[in-house]
Amino acid sequence: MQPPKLSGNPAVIATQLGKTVTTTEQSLTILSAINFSINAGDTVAIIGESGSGKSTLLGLLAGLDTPTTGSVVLAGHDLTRLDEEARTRLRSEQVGFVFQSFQLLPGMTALENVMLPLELRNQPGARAEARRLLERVGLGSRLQHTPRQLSGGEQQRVALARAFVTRPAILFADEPTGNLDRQTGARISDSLFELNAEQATTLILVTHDASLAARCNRTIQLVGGVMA
Amino acid sequence: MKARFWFSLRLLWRERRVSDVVILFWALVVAVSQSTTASVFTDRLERMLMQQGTEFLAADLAVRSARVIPATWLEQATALGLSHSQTHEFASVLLEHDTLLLTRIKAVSQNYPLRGVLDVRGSEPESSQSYHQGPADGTVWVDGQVLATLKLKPGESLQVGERSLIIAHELLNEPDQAMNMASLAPRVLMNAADLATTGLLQPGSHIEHRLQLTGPPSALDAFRGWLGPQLLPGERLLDLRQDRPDFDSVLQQARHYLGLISTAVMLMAGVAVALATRRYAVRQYDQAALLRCLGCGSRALLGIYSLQLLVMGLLAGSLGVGVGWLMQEGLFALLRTGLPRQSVPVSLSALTEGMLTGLLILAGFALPAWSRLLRVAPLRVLRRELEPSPVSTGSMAAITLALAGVLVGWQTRDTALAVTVLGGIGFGLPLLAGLAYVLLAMLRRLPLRDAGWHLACRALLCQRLASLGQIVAFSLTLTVMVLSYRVGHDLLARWQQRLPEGTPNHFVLNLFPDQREAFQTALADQGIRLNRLYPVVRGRLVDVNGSPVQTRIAPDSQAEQTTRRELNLTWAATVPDDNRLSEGRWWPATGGAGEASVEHKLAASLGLRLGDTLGFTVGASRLTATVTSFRTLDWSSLKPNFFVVFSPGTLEPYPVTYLTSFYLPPDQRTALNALVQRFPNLTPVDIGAVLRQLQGLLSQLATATGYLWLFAVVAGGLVLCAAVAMTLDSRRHEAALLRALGASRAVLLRSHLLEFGILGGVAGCMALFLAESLLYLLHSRLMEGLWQPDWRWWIGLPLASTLVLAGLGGLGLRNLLVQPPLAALRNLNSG
Repeated sequence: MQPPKLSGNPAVIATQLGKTVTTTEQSLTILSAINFSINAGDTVAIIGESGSGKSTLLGLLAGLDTPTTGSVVLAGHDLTRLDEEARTRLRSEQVGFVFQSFQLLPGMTALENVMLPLELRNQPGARAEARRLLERVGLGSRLQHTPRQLSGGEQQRVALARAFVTRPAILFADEPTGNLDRQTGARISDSLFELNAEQATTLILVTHDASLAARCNRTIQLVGGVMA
Repeated sequence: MKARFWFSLRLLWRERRVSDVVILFWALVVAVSQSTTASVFTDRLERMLMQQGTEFLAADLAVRSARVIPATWLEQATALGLSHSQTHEFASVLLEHDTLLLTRIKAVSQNYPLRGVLDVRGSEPESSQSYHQGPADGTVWVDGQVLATLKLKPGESLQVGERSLIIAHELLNEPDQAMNMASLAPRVLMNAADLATTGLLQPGSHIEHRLQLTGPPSALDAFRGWLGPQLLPGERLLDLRQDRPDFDSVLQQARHYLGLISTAVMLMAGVAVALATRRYAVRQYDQAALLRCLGCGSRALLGIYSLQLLVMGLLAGSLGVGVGWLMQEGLFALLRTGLPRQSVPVSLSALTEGMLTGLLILAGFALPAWSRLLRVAPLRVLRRELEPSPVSTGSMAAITLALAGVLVGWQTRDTALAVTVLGGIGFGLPLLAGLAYVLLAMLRRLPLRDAGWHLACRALLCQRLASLGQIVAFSLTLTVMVLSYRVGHDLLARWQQRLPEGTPNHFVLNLFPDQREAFQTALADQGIRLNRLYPVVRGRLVDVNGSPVQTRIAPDSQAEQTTRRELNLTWAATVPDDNRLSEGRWWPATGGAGEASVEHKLAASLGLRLGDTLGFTVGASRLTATVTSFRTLDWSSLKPNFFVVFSPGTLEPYPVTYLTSFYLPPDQRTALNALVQRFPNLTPVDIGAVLRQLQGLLSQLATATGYLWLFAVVAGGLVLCAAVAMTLDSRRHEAALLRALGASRAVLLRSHLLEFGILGGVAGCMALFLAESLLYLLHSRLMEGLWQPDWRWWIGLPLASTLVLAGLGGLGLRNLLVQPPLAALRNLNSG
């Protein structure tokens, strides 16, 4: 069963979002007073210099971390009111991820890596659907290859297939082209936006790549943990 | 649920190629095979020895009674499916060629002995033959002393009561020839069917009837339970422990040692599993984070990983049980010349025990690393530096220690041993680890300029806790290896001390005072050295503080058995050899007549206190003495021992004979016959057979313990190799980087050798302190004898562990050193 797509309603709302970490020596504010709303179907780039809090913000929006202040409403659910189990369920139903370091499981083949999220949802036909997505990203001949037998670009295409195989309502991407050369990065970027358009997914990505950010219809810039 | 189950298995299957899964799997196989080998081997060995031990009863169970064995006992034994035989033993004087001889006659039923064999002299002078049943009707087997004293030969007839019986063989050994003076009188074995015709059995005759039984353990237990409450005073169920204290004490020590070896092997297997699980879990952090990120809840994660662990445990366990079974078969094949002839099958329970032990090791030692896996934050997918928070170290250590305690207690069936070893390690290891932590911190202060030193110290200091973990793992492994060797070595030394070359194999009783000199000269002429002569006065303990002794003894207690008969009483100016005062004081060198020292167990059985007055009858006379001390002594020492020793001047007025012992070489047996003819009143007692039995058992155990220690060494070696291999990952990566940055091979090799050398040296010192402390505890609490530090270990162990670990570390890095830096980096990154 496909998850219902969000339409018209805001996919993500951040209100007075803030994150402070306390070390033994001092307390460090990474993010503060972040407010925005992202509509369903939007493509949003979060940009900023290293250490500006981009990845922290992505983690908070995806419910992977909890804010110190403020709240995040994801697909109509206030994440601050959900416990870890409920957030996990929500991610399973609505969210997909693409990571800079691919995060493929080294012992599994490309096909097995893509099947993984479907298997976690006990969804029948996982193998066929995973195969379809891999063929869609041009890896039909690499189904049985393990990550170490694939190039960086191929690994990221496997990661894209894995992210879209569950048809998520919202896709979070953390520097999806950060580990790749420009040419390969451009190809990955094409695949990402094509799949995004096909599935009408809300895309929120963190990037340093200006050309990638330019392909999004909205940009959120962070400077020293606050929105510019 | 079902889907989750298959998903978990699919995940595991897909991970099968990953190195740490492979390492964990094989670590488990090693752990289970070690525990299976140990449990099956010790179980079989013990049952083999116990089975051999049952030969000393000539049965699995025996009952002794002064009355004829009631028919109901036989019916019950038959109903329970037990085989049974009977013997009837009594003293009788035989007369041949005008010579009288007091002998011990044993009439045996057709199927005696049920266990063991009867040895008789063969047709060749020095040969022997074994029989599984006693003499036929109309014949007797008599020992060499009967033949020599009565001037008889096999084939001639012997008058036993009213019956003339043909001497068929010279009897050399009976399986159940118990170690007491009565049974060591000259022996005659006859068929029970002839007993009635001898006319020796009259109402009131003192006869010891024995019923021997064999059969399945459950039936024997049922019989024991049925008969126990019906036994009358003076009737007793016999077992190896009561009948043969010498064997029991040796078996008990061997059991302790086998338990210690099991403990050592299990602890080493535990270390291997803990190290492998840690590495496996660390790599799984990323997968766990990803699964959580993809929507897998913590409960589902728990299910997935627990199932994986269980499945891996069962698969590795099954393989481990198979390997363990093969290994113990190999051990028995190696030992076949030194072990009892009869083999016993592998018991299913011992195999199951191996498997369960493996699973418990997995649960206990994998838990700390495992529990962290379940606490991985999903945010780790974005921030790899996020480590899962550890569960409280104290509670984890307590759980691991408790599970280890259950394991060790279960394996050794010895709570005191388990508590001593684990308590010592649980208390000592953290203490020494703290010291090692400080030592590592002090490395920083060393004014070293060499790059190799600098790199080695930095590697140790940067991850001080990880280094400490390795030191703890190495030192634990070394400790148990040293412990098992030292305890085994001490045990062997003690066994050798117990029966050194030339241990007296003959006792002589009834030597008159005026014969002492002539007897000593006669032996000296034969080149035989005589041990100390003990004066003996026969007397019976009749009262304590004026009250009859019967009023203070429990039926069938040691006191009851001791006071039923006359005792051998002696006197001595000093504490007898191998005796120790447990309470009171020894009498002064002069004066002090009328004092007595009592063996402490008899004293406890009689409820004696210092200052009590003991009353004895000696012949028609009466004698009293005051108890001034209690003594402990070793009844299994095969040396003359006395329940009561008097102060000089107390026993001298009474008729006295002397008792002594000496070693008679087998080729000088004829000398004994000459002595018996010259001193006809002497009662020589040959304990050669008993000594040979004990020496046989000791040599078998010595061989077995030697092999078992080798086994522990192999297990320890495997753990050390695995531990070094597991710590090499990060170092290899760092070494490849350093090569790329320009570090020479020589500097890298030096730093690596130094780093592992320091780890080995510190671990060796810790292991030494821990092992010596545990040895001290074991000696003072569980084993006889004093702890003596062996200074060779104080230099050898730290040195050996430094060299071995430096060598293993160097070997692990060798491939990296010969590769160009870029190739090394590529290889590591692609792995």
